[in-house]
Amino acid sequence: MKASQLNKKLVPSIALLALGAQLIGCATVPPPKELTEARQSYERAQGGSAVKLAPAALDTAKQALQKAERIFRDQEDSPETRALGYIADRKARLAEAMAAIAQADADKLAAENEFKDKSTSELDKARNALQAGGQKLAASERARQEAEKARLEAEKARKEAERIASAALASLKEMASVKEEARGVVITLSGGVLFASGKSDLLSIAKEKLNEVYKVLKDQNHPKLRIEGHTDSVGSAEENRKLSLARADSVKAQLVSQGYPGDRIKTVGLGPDRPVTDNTSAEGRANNRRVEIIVNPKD
Amino acid sequence: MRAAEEAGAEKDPQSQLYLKLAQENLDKGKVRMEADDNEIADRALRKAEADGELARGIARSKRAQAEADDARKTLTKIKPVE
Repeated sequence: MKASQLNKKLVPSIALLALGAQLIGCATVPPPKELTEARQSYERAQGGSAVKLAPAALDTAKQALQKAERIFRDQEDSPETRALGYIADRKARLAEAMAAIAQADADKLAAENEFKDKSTSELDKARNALQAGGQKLAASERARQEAEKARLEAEKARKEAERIASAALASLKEMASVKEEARGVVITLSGGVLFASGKSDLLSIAKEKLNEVYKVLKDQNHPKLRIEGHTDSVGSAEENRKLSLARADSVKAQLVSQGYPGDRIKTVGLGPDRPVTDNTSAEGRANNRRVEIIVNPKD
Repeated sequence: MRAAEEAGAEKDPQSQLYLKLAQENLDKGKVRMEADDNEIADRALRKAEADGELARGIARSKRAQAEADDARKTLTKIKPVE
């Protein structure tokens, strides 16, 4: 407790005690029980929160006590002194009750204000959370829509690729035999169409055909190729192998001349080693003289 | 006394005590008035009035404290938003 507060408390108490002492000095008999109780009650009230919270009620109590003290001074222990002491005691207690009311009202108001503030704060939080949730939902929906769009575009691209591949296959089938085998898609070009007998130089018509083949393969992003040269069984097998390799190389050179990446093409000369039919007839030998282009070979 | 009763003095033991004292003083005052002992009657009635006022004040303070307690309890019911 600060000195100033202590003084505020002590000064009225001291004044009251001085008054009491003066009265005691004047009176020859002790104060009645009612007056003693009134003094104690007033002391208690005056030392409590009534000073701040119920000053009017405390002042009323003070006046009641002073009145009782005056009568005590004049009449000593009379019925009126006792009655006024009794009443002064009640007034002091009432001042305490009034202070308690004021304190409770202030507490209630503070709690209500805090309730209002907290409610508003929590409401704001809930509102913000709801808004954030809504934004997340919107972002999630946007992401879903973008994913769906990407999926549709990929599907479209896949169908387009299939369409191109299908068209390419159809186009190839018009100029050459095209088969899907275990080793890959095999494009077979007849040797009679591509080369003069015993030569490895491409005929003009063969170059045109190969240029068409190039366009189809270019549309499929230049897949890896294996070009195999084949011959019939007429003549030396070794010579035929050399000839078939030279022919495969000629086919490769033509494709490369159009822009096909050379490192994507492998050539082999198999000579008479893998006939597609027997070599006893002229037709059979013609069929065996061929160049095969294997697209995306498996080996 | 009626004001004290309206404030709920009969529900609280402390204010009930002062209400009882007020009633006793009131009764005593009436008896003395009938006996033409007006001086004693006046004292009894003044004491009754002081008791009644105190009974009312205490009842009001108890009620105000209960209301403040309720307000504080209500405050704890607010659940924080997670």
